[in-house]
Amino acid sequence: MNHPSDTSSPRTVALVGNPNCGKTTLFNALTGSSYKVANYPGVTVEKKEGSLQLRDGTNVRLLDLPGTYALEGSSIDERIVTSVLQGSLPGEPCPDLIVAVVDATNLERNLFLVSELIDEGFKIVLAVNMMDAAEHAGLKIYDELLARALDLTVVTISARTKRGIDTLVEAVGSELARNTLSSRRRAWLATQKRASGAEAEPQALSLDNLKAANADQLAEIGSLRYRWLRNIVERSTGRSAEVRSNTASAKLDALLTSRIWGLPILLLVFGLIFQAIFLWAQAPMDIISGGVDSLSAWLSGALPPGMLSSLVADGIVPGVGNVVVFVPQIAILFLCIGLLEDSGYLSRAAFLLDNIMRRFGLQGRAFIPLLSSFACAIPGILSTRTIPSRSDRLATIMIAPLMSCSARLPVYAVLIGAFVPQTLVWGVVSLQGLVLLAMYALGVIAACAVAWVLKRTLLRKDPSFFVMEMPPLRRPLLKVVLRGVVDSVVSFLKNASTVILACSVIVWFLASYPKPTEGFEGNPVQASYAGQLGTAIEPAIRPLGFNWEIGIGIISSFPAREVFVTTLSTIYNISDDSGDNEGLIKNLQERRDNGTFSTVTAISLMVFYVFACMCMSTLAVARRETGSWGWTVGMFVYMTALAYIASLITFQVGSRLL
Amino acid sequence: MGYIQLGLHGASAVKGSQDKTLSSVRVGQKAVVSALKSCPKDLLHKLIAMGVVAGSEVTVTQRGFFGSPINIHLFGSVLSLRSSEAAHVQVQPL
Repeated sequence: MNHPSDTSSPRTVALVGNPNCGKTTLFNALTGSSYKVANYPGVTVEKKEGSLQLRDGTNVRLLDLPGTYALEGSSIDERIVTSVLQGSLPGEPCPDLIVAVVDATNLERNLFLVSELIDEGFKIVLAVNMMDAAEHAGLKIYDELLARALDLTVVTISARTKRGIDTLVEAVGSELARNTLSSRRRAWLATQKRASGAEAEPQALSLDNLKAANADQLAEIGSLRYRWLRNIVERSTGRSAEVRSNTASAKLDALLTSRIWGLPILLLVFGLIFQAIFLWAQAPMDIISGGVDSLSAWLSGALPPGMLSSLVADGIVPGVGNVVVFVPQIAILFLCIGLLEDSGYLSRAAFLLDNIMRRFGLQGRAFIPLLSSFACAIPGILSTRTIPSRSDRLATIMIAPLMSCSARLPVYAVLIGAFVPQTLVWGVVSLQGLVLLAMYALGVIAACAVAWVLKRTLLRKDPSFFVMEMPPLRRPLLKVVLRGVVDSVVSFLKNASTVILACSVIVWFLASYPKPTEGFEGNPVQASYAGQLGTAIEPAIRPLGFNWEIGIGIISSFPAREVFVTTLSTIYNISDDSGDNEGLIKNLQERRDNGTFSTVTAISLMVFYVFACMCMSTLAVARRETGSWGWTVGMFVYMTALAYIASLITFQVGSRLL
Repeated sequence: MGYIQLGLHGASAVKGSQDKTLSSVRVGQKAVVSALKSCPKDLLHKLIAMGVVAGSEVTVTQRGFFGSPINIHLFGSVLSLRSSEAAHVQVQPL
């Protein structure tokens, strides 16, 4: 049987398996870590694709699908796996072969998914992974017996030590060479042919029949499936005793999750991470911002004076440079989160915090996205994909932008630097640091309150649950973690720099044109489009303590918060507006002394930035992830309203007190 | 399908007067799941996929503050769930 579609395009092999079964390690071993990451169309679930060379020299596409426990799973990641396998995603053919990866130390649970795949009529090679760990624990696996019981090709491997990889590649090759199509692939090709050009209809899963079943029947079927698997595993493995996890790691686990020590250790760990983000990132950030300054200065000297020079040196370079400055912080945060995640600690954190977060209508798993949001709400929102309950996921997405992200940091840093004295409280704690901490705390408190309200109003009816596997504690693989850091930094730069670049050009243009007419006295910016806009909105923001200049800064930073600093610099007409904040700080202090920018205004402005939803990329991601304009607009509206009200209160109360 | 025949004397056979819910099992205690009671469907699918089905042997390994979440060891892994979810799981202590 030779289908034209089989020979014209490379054949597709999909890696499928439970989370933590070593699937990604196997993927890296098979592809030599050369792969590309994209998103599935319409959803932001990561699509990881590489090329695998078979023994006969031909290449096949290798897909690394997200980890899943069952075909009927409810999280986005799990649903995407099901639709890729069904061939119901546009542009993604039903795979020719599935390599089902299972953890040898936990065969029954891992084989549950495989049994579903068998029932769906897929062609499968079973890769029994983590053989080294299994043997270490005294577990023997008779792969021939397992192969006969399941009627599948079985290969025992250890992806970490690259054992059995060649055998697996050979098995994939010979399974593909057999040239018989799985019943599912055949059915898919048939619908493709029928649809010819039009969107192919998804092949219904036979599991869809389960939708009609009631809860008792479902439980019964599940129980029978496990009984069958237990029987097979008992016959095809030799286990003297129950597989025991190593006792040292069990003791460490008990300590990390203990009622007495668990939370103090958690606080210590995350305290250290925050220290790392602010201390270690400082030096590289200074280097980058210094580089941006010199580049900008050099450019304005090297280019002939005029429009182009001004655009590049005042607009683009400082604008984009402002974003690049955050890369060290983001890299450190992702490094720390990656290390904690790969070691299995984040699941312990979720365990420790679930009972607290539950009170605000969140769940333990929301901790990871919210933590990431301190770096940037975009990866934070993306990492909510693992939350299976829709209402918990929505609530987490809605509050993620309230965590003070690194783009707010330059705004806080400039205002605190200019208005908060460098005194020590109780002789040790810096007042500036305390004010910064207060801004972060304000966001967290508001986030809890918003989640609490959402879960009692709009998201009241949706069920929520917390069932999570605790992966074993292990030494993190640095290579995997670093690759993750690089991926995040690259996507951060790609995502943000396009928006920032566009904004910095627009802001530069609006603040530069039209040029003031002859004889215009005062700030030339006031005559520009930006100045006219700022003056127009001044009545609305005056109760918050803001004047037209701040108004321009706020408007210009709706696409991205960090633009505020650049805009303010430009407007204050500093020759050096290139991210060197000392110039801006001095300028602000002069304004404080001549009474045009009070300390209360500065605090009110910081409070505004804690709450205001000023990030196009966040809104774009929220739109994609919630799949709804309603929630996206809702996010923008509630955050902006919160910002306005909180600032109003701050300024009105503050200016009466101070 | 193999699992249908094997399971004819099904899970419903294990039921007794000593049944209690998983949420009331103390740390260190072993138990066999006897039934899943009045679960919402998403939770039910999740529990089944994770192996919390009639006939599975579980050991409670850890409890959080105020008794929730509960960590249970079953098959080769540890599962964390809230006590409110564990309340849907009927078990027979061993």
